[in-house]
Amino acid sequence: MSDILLINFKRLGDIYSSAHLIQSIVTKDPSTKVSILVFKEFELAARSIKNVANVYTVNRKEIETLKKNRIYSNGFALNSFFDDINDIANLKWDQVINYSNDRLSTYLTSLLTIGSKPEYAGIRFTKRQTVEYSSIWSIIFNDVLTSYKYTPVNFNDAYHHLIGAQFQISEDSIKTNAKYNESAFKNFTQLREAEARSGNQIKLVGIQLKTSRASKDIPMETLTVLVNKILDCPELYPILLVAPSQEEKAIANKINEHFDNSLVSVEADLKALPSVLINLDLVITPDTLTKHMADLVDTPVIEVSLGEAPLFKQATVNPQSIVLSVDPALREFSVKKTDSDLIWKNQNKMIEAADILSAVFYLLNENTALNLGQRVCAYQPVRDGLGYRLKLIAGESDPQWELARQLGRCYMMKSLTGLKTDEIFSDLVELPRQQIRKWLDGEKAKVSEASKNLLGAIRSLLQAGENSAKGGDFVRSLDKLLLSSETDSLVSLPSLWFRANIESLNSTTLEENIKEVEGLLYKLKGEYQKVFDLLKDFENFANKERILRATQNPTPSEVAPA
Amino acid sequence: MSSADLLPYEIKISKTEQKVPVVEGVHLHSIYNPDREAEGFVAKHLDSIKDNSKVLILGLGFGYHVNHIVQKLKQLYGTAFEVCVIEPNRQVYNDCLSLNNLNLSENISVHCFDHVDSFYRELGIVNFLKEKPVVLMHPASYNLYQNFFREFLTYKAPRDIRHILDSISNPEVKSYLNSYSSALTLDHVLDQLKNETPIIDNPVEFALLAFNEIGSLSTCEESHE
Repeated sequence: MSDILLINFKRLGDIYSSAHLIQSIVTKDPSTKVSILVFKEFELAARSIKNVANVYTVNRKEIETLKKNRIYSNGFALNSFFDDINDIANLKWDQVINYSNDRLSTYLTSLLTIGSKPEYAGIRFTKRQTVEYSSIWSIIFNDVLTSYKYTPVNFNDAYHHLIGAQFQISEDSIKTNAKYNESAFKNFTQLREAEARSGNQIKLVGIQLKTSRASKDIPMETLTVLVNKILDCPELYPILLVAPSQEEKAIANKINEHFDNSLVSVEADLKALPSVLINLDLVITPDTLTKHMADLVDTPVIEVSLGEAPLFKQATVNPQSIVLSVDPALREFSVKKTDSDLIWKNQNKMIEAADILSAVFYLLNENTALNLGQRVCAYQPVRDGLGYRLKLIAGESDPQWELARQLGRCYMMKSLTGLKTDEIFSDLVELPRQQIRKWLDGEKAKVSEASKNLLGAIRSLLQAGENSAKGGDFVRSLDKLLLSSETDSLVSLPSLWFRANIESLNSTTLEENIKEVEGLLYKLKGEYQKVFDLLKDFENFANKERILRATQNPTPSEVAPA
Repeated sequence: MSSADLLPYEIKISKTEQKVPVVEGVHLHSIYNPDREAEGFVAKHLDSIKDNSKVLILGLGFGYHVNHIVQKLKQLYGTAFEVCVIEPNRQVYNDCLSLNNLNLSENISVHCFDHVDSFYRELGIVNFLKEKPVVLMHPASYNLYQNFFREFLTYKAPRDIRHILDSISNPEVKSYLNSYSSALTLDHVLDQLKNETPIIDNPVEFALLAFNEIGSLSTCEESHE
């Protein structure tokens, strides 16, 4: 039996999302006890996750108040903090998982694991306060996913690989309240029966109205039109979902005014929400904790990804769900959008009610085609060797984006698991041939450039080894090589790994350092070769596919290779 | 002993036969009808206490105003309220309690210390202040001990290690910080630890570095694409 501590100082949605990893750990070994450490304000959410042995908390708000307010001695803040961590510091852990990957969790991971037995997963600080990685996957999580533009894996996949667990979606990850279950079931059944008496076999469609940030909200006008369209469909019935807050109730009331206050709206706190979601047929939601919770109770979701919502990092993982987004090439996934920024406001209107309704019908009836507006895309989570990827199933996405994202994933599959990538290749050959050609040529040029810089760095290193006066040349060639990590091309991926390893070198002598760097350079050479081979494999696959299709449906222009 | 304790002091009897402390010639309650005066005190502050069940009262006197505030709070909140009273004059404090003038309960705490910083070292008061109570000044007490209450209301805790050590309960942390110059502030120590310490080899140091990060965390949006 092992005792695992998972440190998660992220917010509500991430607390719920961590339930996937916890279930996977316990499924792998049911004797494992998983405890979690969260901020106190999220304790309720943490306690609602099944298979959690203990919940420990740090009262961040209290500590911040005691720290910042000048009337309090700093001693009180220290007391509060050390009281909070006392329990976890005195317990024996077999493994500590640094889930939130921030500086606080990383120092705590060091506190609990340095100099003692526990393994750690993720990153920790060494005694010299340099970053230490538990595995390549912690580099991917900490350095690649935060830097590389075309996210190749989502967080859930990365976490599972980090600890070597198999990710299987579990629909039984959250505790529900029997009273709320009964109440939701009864009320929704009554609604269904009432509609059935009018001859309508309805599907109840929940609509989450609000997120934590205005830039991620579905615009009010879109919501109102959507509700109207749903009401026009006899087989659908809208249910407005609101948290018990004045703001959300006001939004529900405002929408309801357009419909003579005839709409059903359900106000549910975190305890009651799972019961509500279980009893809905489908939920339409922007990026909110509702999405994460719906995944945990296996209710299909149409996620409307807007603003800075982390589309490829943290979208729904349910294969029965759909994610709608504006072409990712148009989006800027950085935070702190301001009210005066018109770009996101206009972009958020691009996904119209008709798009969302089309996605509803597509989900409820697979024979229905997805009809989307200009520059609107639909993705669906599909399982592959790395976990769950978002497959483009309809709409217009910039082919360069699709190629970079999916082939980035292929590179990771190839390099880290050796698994085949044909399934992803098959998706990509549908893209316009010229775009594929353009992208391939660009990538090959970047690999060549990076390889040239790599060889230069190896040469400089060898020369510096023989003549220390050449050290400066090596540093310059290394800097040049490291620029490859900033190009947002496939070759950036291994370059980012390399950079992370260089920055976390722990050797104490110059000779050891040189030896380590040399080893890393040759490893990088191998990775660049893998990138090149991948590009070649894809090119060959695309050509073969094209020839095959041309043979089956010959037209003169289709016979020539890419 | 605080300066408040040195002031001339006597007890008089009001027209309603209630005891009234008189400090340096200042009657701390009405010599005619302390209870009626206390009712006026409650009426004046009713809006404030309707919004907040936590009340800090500056000045105890013989507690007539405190009793009336508590009565009103009971009406508004049942048992879910809390009152904390601050009094700098030990003679007044002792006499108030020994006369049983105050209807004490677990919802009420009264504190008397010689110096302002003693109040802020008292954990009960610190925990109470964290709840952001409404502050009511007993006018007669406030006017009499203006300097004291002004100091109380504008107090800034000393930041040097020497003073912080008094309020630290963890012996390992105390021992660790004791090894630093007492003139340094905690911020200096943490800064040194983070930026100038070549090797971290003490668990307390890792814990302090973690502590240092609270309040400077970026949110989960940092992970965006």
